Amino acid sequence: MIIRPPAASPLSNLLATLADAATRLPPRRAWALTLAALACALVIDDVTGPQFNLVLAYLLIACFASWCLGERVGMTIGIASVLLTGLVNGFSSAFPSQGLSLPTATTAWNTLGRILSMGLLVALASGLRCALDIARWRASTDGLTGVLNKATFTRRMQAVVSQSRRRNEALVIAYIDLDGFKAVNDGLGHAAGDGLLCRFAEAAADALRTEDLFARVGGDEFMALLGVEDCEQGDVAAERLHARLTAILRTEALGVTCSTGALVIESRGAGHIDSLIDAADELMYEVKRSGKNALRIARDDLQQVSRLRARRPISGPISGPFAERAA
Amino acid sequence: MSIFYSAAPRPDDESERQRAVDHSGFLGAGGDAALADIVREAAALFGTPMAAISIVDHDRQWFAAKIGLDASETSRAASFCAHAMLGGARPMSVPDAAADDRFAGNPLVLSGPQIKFYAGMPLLGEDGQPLGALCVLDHVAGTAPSEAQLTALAALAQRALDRAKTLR
Repeated sequence: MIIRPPAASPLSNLLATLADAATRLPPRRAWALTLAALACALVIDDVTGPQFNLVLAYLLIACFASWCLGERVGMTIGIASVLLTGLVNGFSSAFPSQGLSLPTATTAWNTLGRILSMGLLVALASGLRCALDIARWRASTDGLTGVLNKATFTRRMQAVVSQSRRRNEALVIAYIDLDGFKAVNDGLGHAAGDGLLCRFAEAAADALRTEDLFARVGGDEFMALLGVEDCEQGDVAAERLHARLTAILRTEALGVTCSTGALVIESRGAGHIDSLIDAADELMYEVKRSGKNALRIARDDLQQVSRLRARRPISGPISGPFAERAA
Repeated sequence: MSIFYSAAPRPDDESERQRAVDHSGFLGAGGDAALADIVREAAALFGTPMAAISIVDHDRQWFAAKIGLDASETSRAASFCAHAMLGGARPMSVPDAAADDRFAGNPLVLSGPQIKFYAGMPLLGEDGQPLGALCVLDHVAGTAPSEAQLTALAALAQRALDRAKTLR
């Protein structure tokens, strides 16, 4: 049975859109907005006098602060707003124009009530934010290993490719499949297999730089995206990655190895994300077909050269990147 | 399907191999005249325009001596000698790199020296650790080398190892 997600109402959709925009605000801007809104509210409160109730504005400001800047900041802003309103309009004089004044105990109760309701809403906002963060984390990572899942990898890959293109750099897209993993599952049980996947994923992710991407994209299949200066460095990075992964699996001593296909590409010539992933996948299958436990690299920047040469053999003086570098 | 190549696997005891490389005497032997003579003789022996003593060092292969090659080093990934050195005492020959799945898409085949023919004799350290290879290279495909050529190449490789020992 397919379990479908609960339907969202128009109002909750609007709220979600607003909340999403607030989530993406940089902290500095969120701080500026919070403080500016608080100052505005206080000025309006002062001008309009105690009869005009601005409690909704203060609640919204405190909840916004709690959402964007954390529960502690939200609480502080909320309590500060209650106290500042008290200072501006007086705590006890509910209707000073009519000369009415409330008893001290009532004033204290009312102020405490305001602080507590403020606190409750601030806690609600931070709780929702926390739930959203957890839901997002769950949706972006692989449940077993904690590394990225395929959908998130593909989405983030777009950003990495764009950045690399701006810098005119190169990329390595590696597709990794474990060899002999099924034997571990069948022989030692699924718990042992799961344990191996977790330890492998963690060690592999640790071996990469923070700006690289690493994901589990299937049962025992993984992908990595590495940014490099140029294609020649891409060869180096791919070889080093495969050697590192092989070493990680060797320490497990379960007879599991890995087959890796790596596409090295200049980012300015990079085509559609899916076709890049397919090309790396195809290279990995080529390793599987020809004996496993190896690394195949395709240098996309040199493919054109090879096609041209296939048509018309080139002879004569040596040219190309190696010749230039040697001087 | 893109044209591809294979990078040689790293030995299981790579850290010990690297230690053997560090102590081999080759890494400080750049510009040594005796090693230069050896690669010249190797190239003459096979009638190739290029020959080198390639030492596989960390992520690169570095040429302690070379003839006909512009670069002084390349990535280990693209190294033919990183494959050749894993053959124990046996030489590796690739008559036509463009027709060999391991090398067809190699950047040294598609660009730079545009290698087609390769023959390499492993350089083994005193403890048997592979350090690299003495190799001869050509831009055109060739035929499998003769036994006599390989025996002579092995003798040159031994001379290179003996020479490096004196440079430690």
